[in-house]
Amino acid sequence: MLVRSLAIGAAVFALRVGLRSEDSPRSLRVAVATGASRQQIEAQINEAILLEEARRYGWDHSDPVVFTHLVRNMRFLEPNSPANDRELFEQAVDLGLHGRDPVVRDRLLYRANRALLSVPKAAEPSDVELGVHLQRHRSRFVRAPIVTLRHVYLSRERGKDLRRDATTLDLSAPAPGDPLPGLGLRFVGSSDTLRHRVGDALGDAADTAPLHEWQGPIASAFGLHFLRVEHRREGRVPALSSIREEVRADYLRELRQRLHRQRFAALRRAYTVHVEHRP
Amino acid sequence: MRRSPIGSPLWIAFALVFAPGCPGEDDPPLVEADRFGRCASFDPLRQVFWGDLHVHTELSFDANTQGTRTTMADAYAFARGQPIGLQPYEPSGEPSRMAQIDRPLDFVLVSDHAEFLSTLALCRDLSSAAAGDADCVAYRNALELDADPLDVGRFFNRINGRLIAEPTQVSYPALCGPGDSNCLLAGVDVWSDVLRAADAAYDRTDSCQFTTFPGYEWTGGPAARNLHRNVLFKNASVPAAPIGYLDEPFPEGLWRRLDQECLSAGTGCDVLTIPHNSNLSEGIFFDRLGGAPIDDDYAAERAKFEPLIEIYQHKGASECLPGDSISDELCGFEILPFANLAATNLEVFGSPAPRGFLRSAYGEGLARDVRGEVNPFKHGVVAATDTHVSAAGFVNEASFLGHGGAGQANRFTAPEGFPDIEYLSPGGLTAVWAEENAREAVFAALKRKETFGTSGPRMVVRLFGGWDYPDDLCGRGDLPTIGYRDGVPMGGDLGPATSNAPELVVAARRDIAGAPLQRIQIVKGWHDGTDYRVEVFDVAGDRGNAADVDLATCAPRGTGAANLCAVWRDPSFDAAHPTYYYARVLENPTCRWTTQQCVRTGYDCDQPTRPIDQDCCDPVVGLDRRRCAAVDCADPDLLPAPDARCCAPPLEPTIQERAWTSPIWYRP
Repeated sequence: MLVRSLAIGAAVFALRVGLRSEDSPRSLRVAVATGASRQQIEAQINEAILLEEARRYGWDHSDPVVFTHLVRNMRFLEPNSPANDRELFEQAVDLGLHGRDPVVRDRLLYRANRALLSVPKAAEPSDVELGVHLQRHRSRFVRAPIVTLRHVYLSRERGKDLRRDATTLDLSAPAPGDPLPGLGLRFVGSSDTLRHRVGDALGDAADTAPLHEWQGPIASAFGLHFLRVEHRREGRVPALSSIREEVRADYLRELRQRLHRQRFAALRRAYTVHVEHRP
Repeated sequence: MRRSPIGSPLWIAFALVFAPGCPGEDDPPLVEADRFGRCASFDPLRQVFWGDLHVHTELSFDANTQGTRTTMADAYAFARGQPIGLQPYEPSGEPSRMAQIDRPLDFVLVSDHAEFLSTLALCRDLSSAAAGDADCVAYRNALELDADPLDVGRFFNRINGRLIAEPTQVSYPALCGPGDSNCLLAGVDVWSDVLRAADAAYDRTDSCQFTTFPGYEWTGGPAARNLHRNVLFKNASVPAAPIGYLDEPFPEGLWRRLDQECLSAGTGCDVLTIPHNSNLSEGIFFDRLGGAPIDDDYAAERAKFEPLIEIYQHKGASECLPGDSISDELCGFEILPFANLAATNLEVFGSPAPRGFLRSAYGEGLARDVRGEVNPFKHGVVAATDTHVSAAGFVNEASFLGHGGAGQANRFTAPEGFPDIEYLSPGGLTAVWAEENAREAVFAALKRKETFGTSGPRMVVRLFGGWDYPDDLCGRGDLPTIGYRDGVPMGGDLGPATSNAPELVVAARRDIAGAPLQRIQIVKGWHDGTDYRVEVFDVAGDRGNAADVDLATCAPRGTGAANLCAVWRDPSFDAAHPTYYYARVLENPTCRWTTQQCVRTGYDCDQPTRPIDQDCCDPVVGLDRRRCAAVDCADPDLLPAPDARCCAPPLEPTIQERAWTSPIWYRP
């Protein structure tokens, strides 16, 4: 949930990113430790660019979190100072604290990244766009296959009679067997549900058994099971009207990531970075 | 009152549609509208679905200041089996711990605290008039990476203190502006986010893989005596804003507003409120706040809105308290040694009040039955986590990472010892018997109390009560059919006596990922006109199966049952006495989470150098009590700190996980 001022600043930031890429490149020096990996160097460059942009927007001077943090630090340094908050803040800036303080740094990075992730209101997807998104990423929205089966269960509490009863069970006639709470004579659901309730063997059988043929006995921790798969419905992707909110949430998640990449790439193009290796 | 779903026209219609063989022809179209009967998996004899009805995310004030950054979307994703990251967070923003549930849930209520939902939003809006308010500044400071934990604690107590104010003195913070309008407006925005998130996660197709309910928590706790309730709406037709303690500080005010803005609004809105943690109420939970007597009007309202109660969660169990005439030897399960919320937070030991426990409330209700008054305490039972890290349904003892909230925050450093306060626990789950996994059906199951709660494992329990069940019902595959036809399910009311005594048929199946079952008990409570009495009967299984646990490895020893069933007839029924019956199903003993973590880390009490060693060797935990043999607990305050721990209430290193069903009721 973006705060309103962040959203406004972010929109301006994002807009100007595009414009700035057409200006002459800006120069930036980044100091990295000798022996730093390429990945570490890239991360430091990215961070330096974001910080530079945040400072160009004056967030190190205007951000209320930065403001209160530096004022708090100044009051710690000078507990008896008669200066008011604004004066203390200016003193902190004069001391260069806003440039070195790690909390300020993290706050500016946070705002910059949020700005890169911001989605303008005009980007709210239409049903057409959501439909395209759904088709493009069907695997994200597919519903699990559903199996319909009949089930007969013989409890292990039958003891020594269990195997005999399993051998002599007449499945041609309706045979309710023993009750197993939560798993009735007929089951409609996913094979994973069966796995979670009764174990892998039954779940696997639900997936692989041929239609309309009794299978079993299949052993579980509860006893012996017989099942007859009557129908399988393959996994399917619902219509957009059924899952619109789900698709919208996924669309916006992707959009934010794409906007972040695009905007940051534009920022990178706007800078010439000089890397200095230091021990 | 007898339920007979088998003979109902609705069932007949669906039986014809879903009879074997029909789905092999034209597949039913994916249904868009949210209507009863839309799920492919529909069973008129009802099936069991698992959920967590008490989940907090970053939107809750306490979770937020504890470092929770996981969102509502994260909570729903976690419940569906996706991993999420937990605090503490690295400076880069990456979580330092990951959590994942072992099996997905079927339904969830995200129940963030209504109070301060709007306040936090307002403080984060840097352009708002409240942004410069001292409390908002302090809040933003409290979120900083280098925030002083003591400052955060002080700030939290100052703001949260509004929730323990007396009802006549509650108020919004000054930053909310004249008429609290700033916060009320901001709250509407947040509430619409809550609704949208619930809708995005709700599976409206006929696959019915996941159900959500919009809702929140009403967080009333005058003088730190817990009166909290979760508010659960059936669908997205809801009041314009959540009604919290700062809006309506009396439960009856909450119910009145819910009646006006939901039940009587003509929008299809429906709602129920689920109280929890009566164990931390200092015994006032079942009284009428303010001291007025409970009259029939109040009782009827309470009964209407609160058919259910949360019997167990992170902050302990509320079934029964050991030591009085209505308790039994199994009442000591996860009893917190604290009397109220503040005592829990500050770890100030004290005895919880017996009147704050459900079995006591049941008795007060029966006394009202005897007097011919309305009984507001016929609560059905659910259980939940009350997680404050969005980890819905994260109940596994072996992988417990802490739930935050009243427990350990883990905001600034990753836990090196226990991830949570040792007296707290992972919490439990709610199970409902419903025709399908969709809002209409699950909500109806909650409302009619066809529910049971568990301490975490997913053992399945079925309970029916009637007057003439066949003795061989446990061996018959049509048990549910007969159960419904000739009686009532859990949560129901028995009709007039048609035989000498009621019969209960109870069947339980172990959790395939849990321990074997040890036994099933029936807990009977009745009022003979003078006294309230309770008796517990073992009806199936074997209490003497000698099952136990090797504490060195947590390996279980002994045998147990995969499923149990019994048809039990009350041997001492008196038709003149109002009575209830509920089933309690017990697993064989297993290691408590504290023991599991100690065993896994190979704790060493001879050389307790690591934080985990110190935690595990704390005599409270029950693994190393030998060191306390010589400690005199006559005056613990005079003892050095390590020895004083010998005098703190001890925990048992092993537990018996369990399920509690909603009671079946009889009224003469």
